[in-house]
Amino acid sequence: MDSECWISCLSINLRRNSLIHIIIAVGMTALVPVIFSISALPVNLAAQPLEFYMTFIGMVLIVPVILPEQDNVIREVVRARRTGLLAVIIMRLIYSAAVLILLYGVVIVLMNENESEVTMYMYFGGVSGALFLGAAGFAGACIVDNAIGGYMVSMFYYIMNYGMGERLGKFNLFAMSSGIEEGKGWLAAGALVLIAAGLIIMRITRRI
Amino acid sequence: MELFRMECKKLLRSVIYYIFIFMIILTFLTQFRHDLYLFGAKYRPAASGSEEYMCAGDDPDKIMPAATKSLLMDYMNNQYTTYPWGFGKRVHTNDGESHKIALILEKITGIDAAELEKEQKKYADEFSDGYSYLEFPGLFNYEINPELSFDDFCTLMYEVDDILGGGSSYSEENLFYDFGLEPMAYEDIMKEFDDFEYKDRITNGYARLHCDYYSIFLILFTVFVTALFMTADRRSHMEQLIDSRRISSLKLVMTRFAALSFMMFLPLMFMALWAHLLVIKFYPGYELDHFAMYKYTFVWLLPSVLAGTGIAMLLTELFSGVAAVLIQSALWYIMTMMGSLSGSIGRFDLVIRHNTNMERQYFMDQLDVFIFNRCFYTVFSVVCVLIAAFVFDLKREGRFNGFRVLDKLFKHKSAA
Repeated sequence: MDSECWISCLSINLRRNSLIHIIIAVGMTALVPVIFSISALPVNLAAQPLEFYMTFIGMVLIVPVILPEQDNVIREVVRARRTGLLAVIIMRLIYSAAVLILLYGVVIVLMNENESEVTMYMYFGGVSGALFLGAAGFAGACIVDNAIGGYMVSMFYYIMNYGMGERLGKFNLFAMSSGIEEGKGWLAAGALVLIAAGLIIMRITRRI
Repeated sequence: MELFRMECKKLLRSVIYYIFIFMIILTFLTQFRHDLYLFGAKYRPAASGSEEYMCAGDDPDKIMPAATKSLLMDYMNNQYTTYPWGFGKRVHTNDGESHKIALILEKITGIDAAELEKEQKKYADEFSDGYSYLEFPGLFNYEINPELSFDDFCTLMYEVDDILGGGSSYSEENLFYDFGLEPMAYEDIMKEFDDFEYKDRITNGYARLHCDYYSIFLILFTVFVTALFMTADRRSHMEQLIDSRRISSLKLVMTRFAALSFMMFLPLMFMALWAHLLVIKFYPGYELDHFAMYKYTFVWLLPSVLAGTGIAMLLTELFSGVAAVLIQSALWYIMTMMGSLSGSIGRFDLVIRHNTNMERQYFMDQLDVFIFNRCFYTVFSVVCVLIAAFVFDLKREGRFNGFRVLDKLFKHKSAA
């Protein structure tokens, strides 16, 4: 597919399929200073909005990536096209992750400007947690072939972190708020594995 | 009846329903069962003074000095920690708010408000790392105004909480707990155990704890199954076939509501049975109330299932399954984060908390409010379903297609 087609594909996907989810994610980000204080926070309090709240942005952006082709009829029409559906889904994942990274960046900069103790590791950690939560939902959505199933998996994983965070070890979403300053690389790697698994499942079962 | 059986069978074939059951079981294992193994068969303490049994006291001689000192420190640093949404929030007051708090401190301590403001400014200019209040020892040589009554003192503290936006230690909910915590009197501890053993007969106390854990999550768990179920017709392209059938919209939607509620409530009764058996194992030889788990599950959790299902059905019909999931998840998050572990039961609280197997009297004192609350949400769920049926009927007639956000913005415009 030539670059003009890709640009057109990107523009249409952003406008028609992803815009509402991006708007929700931006709206949620805008509420951070309302729900949390962002000025002069020590490390553990600064990590709270990044881990307890903004991780939902991963779910909001990543899980609905398969939503447009959830209908079998639409999926068959799209599969008949020359452009592979897999490539389009990967494109959606990439720009959703980019938006997520950007939104986290905005919050980190805002907190830094307001003299909160934020570090690059916290930025990386926050993004990894959000990506993992979104990827868990994405994999769930691919297995069940329904975005609602994906949201269910994401929310359930989030709740598990409340009750069993310590037992989840390296995959604890709220580690930084508990003062643990390591292990977020596992979440990032886990996110990639889950997304790959979801795509493989879709490839095999839905022949995308 | 045939339709009801069909809808139940449809749910049994759904993967999401089994994920729902898995979530119910995991909640039981990680919450109730975990707590029972940790605290079950707790023996009565030999004497009071144990830090395990604390309660919010109302001793003015303890609360007034502690709260005043805390407020003075926070004022000098212009930094107050509040929990309006369940998360810690650092509040810095502006000049106007700071002045109001200085006036309140003047009423309590007798220290001139202008003097306080001068010291605060001097402190802010000299120190940037906060909490170096010891540099100003003079500030702590004060006496609480002896003419200030305890009630007036509390009123002033609540005013401070209002200025800070709520959720501070000076609020009505937290003042006595944060500054007046004291060991329970031995007689009170024994009364708690007596109530638990003889009035609650063990199982009633654990039934409340069991229901508490599920009541947090039901409003969330129900939306996934409901949204998926309600959108199944559209996904399988059966909606036009169903729309043309003779069955009334009301009958169809009510039957689906009944099927969803029944199938989602059934696993909860099995969990009640499991909880009952576990309590029997932990309390051999005790006289238990063998109906407690079931009656509490029925009265406490069934309205939660009905309300969660009703709200999800309405949101799905009005918007879409995904929108219902996001809105109800946000609702759950706000209610859970802003609530406390146990406290007064509100007439319109969707999530009722009572995170203990003790405090029977505290719960019983609010029994009328609890019953009103559960009846309200049962009726509320039926109203939601009636509205959902009405919306479904409009869709069937082609007069309404749900609220589609952004559709008008991206409607295809012909180039011609």
